[in-house]
Amino acid sequence: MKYFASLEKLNLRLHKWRVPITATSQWLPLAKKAVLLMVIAFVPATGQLAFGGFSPPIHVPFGIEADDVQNRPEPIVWVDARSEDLFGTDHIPSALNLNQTNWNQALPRLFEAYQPGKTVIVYCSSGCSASEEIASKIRDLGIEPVLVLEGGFEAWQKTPHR
Amino acid sequence: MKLAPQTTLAWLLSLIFIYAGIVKALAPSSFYHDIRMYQFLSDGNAWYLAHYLPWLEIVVAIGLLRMSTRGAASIIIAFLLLIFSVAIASAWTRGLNIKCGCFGDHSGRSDYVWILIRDLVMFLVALYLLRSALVGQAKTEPFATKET
Repeated sequence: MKYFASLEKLNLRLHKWRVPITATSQWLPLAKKAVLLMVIAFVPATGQLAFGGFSPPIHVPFGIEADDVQNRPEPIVWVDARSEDLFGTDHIPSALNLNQTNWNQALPRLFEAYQPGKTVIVYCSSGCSASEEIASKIRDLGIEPVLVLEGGFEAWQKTPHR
Repeated sequence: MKLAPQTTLAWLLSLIFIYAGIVKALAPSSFYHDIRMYQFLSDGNAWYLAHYLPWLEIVVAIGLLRMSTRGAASIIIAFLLLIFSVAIASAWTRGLNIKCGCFGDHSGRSDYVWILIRDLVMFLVALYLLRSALVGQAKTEPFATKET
């Protein structure tokens, strides 16, 4: 009863705002249709999941901490996934700029720099997703291992080995 | 032919949501990436949401086009926009520099102020459409009485 009383209060207030609802029962068809629309959306979504897999894809490991980079014995190929402007401002020495925009042009440089036994580490700015996207694309080319620098370029700048 | 303002707005909002839904439904992996970057949900839940949300947007966008479902679709859209705004504001306050994921892969790095203003405008449009739908409902059901 308390529930209905508060609904009636809401209705009165809505009426004051010139929203023409005076009966609780008028909300019910709306709510039912809203639920119906949400249920309908489940059908194609479930179908797409059935084709694409119900489990999320295995990810490029979220990556490597800037502090841990120096402990890796193997040579590293740095990939800067930020824009050319940011890359031009400052970047990790020997990094090559490879992002969604210049992907086709810059990819040959990655193949020149990479050899089996080397590790590719991709970075962008702190909190961005470009490094993950580029890392996924590089992995799709069959290059392993590809890591993502956690905290991005800013984290690398803060490390003492800079 | 002169269209009523609510019809024009409903079509506009519907086109926006259909476009947003289709580009995301075509690339759920990319949208999944975007959702993960908000750091709200587990990978599994982000994966499910990346598949469900685009279709919900498409369905409610189609719902906006029909008078009979416009009110319900407006409620869902208003609710979605509220959630999106909270997520964006949260990412902003946490200092994350991410893509909003609003329009799939084509959306660039996020300008949070612009996104929040855009969401607010669409939220107000959704409320207006809801009100219009209720007015229409009241006109077609003039004898609806208070429930006791």
